[in-house]
Amino acid sequence: MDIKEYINSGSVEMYIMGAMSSSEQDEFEQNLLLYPELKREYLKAQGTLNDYAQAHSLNPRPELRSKILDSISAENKSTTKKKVIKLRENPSLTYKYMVAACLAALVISTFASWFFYTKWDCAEDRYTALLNDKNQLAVNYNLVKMEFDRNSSDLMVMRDFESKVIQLNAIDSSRNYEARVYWNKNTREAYIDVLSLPVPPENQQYQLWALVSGKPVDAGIFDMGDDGIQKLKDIDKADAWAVTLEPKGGSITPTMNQMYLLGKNS
Amino acid sequence: MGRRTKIEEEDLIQLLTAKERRGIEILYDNYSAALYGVVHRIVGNDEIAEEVLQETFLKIWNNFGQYDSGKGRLFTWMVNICRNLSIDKVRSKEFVNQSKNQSIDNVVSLSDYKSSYNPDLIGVRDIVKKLEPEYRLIIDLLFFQGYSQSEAAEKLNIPLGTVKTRSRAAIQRLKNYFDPE
Repeated sequence: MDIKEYINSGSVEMYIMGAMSSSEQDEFEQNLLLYPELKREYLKAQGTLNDYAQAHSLNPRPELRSKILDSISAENKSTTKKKVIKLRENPSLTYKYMVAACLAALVISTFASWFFYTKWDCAEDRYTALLNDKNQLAVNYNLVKMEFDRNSSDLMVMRDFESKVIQLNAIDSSRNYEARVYWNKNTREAYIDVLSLPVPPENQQYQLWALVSGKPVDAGIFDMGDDGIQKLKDIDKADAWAVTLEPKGGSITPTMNQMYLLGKNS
Repeated sequence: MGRRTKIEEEDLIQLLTAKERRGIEILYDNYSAALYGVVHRIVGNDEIAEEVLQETFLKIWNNFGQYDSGKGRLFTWMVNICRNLSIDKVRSKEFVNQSKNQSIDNVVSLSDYKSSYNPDLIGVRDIVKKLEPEYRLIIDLLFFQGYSQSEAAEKLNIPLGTVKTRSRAAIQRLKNYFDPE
C-alpha cells in the first residue's frame, strides 16, 4: 500500500470526523499500527482539533478547582473503603436477592391461587346453573310430550272414520253450555269433549247418559278442568245423549230437573 | 488561567497512571479551561457546566486505566469523555426540566461565540475566524457536539456526501492554519 496516497486521500480527516464505514475504520486502525507515518499524521490532526478546542477555552470559576480536586480525594478514600466493605456486603446482598425472589414467588403464587380459585368457583356456579337448566328442560319436555301424546290420541279418536260426533246443547237456551260426544259404534267407545259447562259444587259431578228409545243408560261420570277429551263407559246403542248434574259418584237414574245438555245422533 | 505547568504529555500520563494527586492537579490547571469551554458550549449554563466538569474530572481520574496512548492523544480522550457526559446531561430529564424555556437546539446553536477566548491563544482566535462559517459549523457539530455524520446532514439539511467532503476539507484547512508546512 502506498501510505502517502492513503494519507492524501483524506483518510485521517475522515476517520477523525467519523465519516468512515465500520470496515474502513477497522482498516484505518490496522494501518495505524503498521505505518508510523500515518500515526504521525493522525496525531497531528488530533492536535489541530485540540488547538481548536483550546481556542474556545473558557475559564471556570477559580473556586471550582479546589472543589473538584477535593471531590476526587474524597472519592479516592471512599473507593478504598468500599473495597473493604464489599466483601461483607456481597453475601448479604445475595441473601437480600433470595428473599426478594421468595417474596416475589409468594406474591405470584398467591395471586395465581386466588385467580384459579375464582375461576373454579365461577365454573362451579355455571355448571350448577346448567344442570338446573337441563332438568327444567327435561321436565318441560315430559310435559310437552304428555300433552302431545294426549292430543294425538284425541285426534285419533276424532279422526276415526267410524266415529260419530254428536253435538250436545244447553237445555236452558239462554246459556251457552255445550259439549261433544265422540262415539264409535264398532268399538263401542264413547268420549266426551266438554266445551263449556259451569264448575259443579264440591259434592256433585256431571254424568253422561246414552238414551236408547228414550231410556237413559249410564255412560259414566266426568270431571271438569281437564283439557281435551275424556273416555267414558262403552255404549252399545244410543240415539241421543244427555248430561245431568248428580251427587258425587253418579246416580242410577238421571235427576231430570238437573239436566244441562242434550243432543241427538245426526 | 494563571498556573499552567509545563510538562510532557508522557510524564503527565505516568503521574495519572500512578494515581498521584499532582497528576490531576496539573491536568486541571492545563486543561480545565479547554474542557470547560467544550462543556459550556453544549450545556449553555454555568451551573450545569460546572457539574459536568466535575463529573468529567472524576471520570478521568477513576477510569484513567482505560486510556490507551497508542490510540490517540490524551486531550482527545478527555474531550470525548466530557462531550459524552455533556450530551447525556442535555438529554436527561433533569436538564430538560431546568431549561424549559430554552430548547436544546438553542443551547447547542453555534451562533454564540461569546466565550472568552483564552488570551494565551489569542493568535489562534484569528485563525479560527479565518475559517469559513460552513467549516466551523461542521467541526462544531461533529467534534464538539458529537453528532454523527448522518445527524449532522439532517441538522444542516444537506446531503450526507456533502457532510463527508466538507468535514474532510474543514480539518485540512484547519491543519494548514495551525501548522503551515
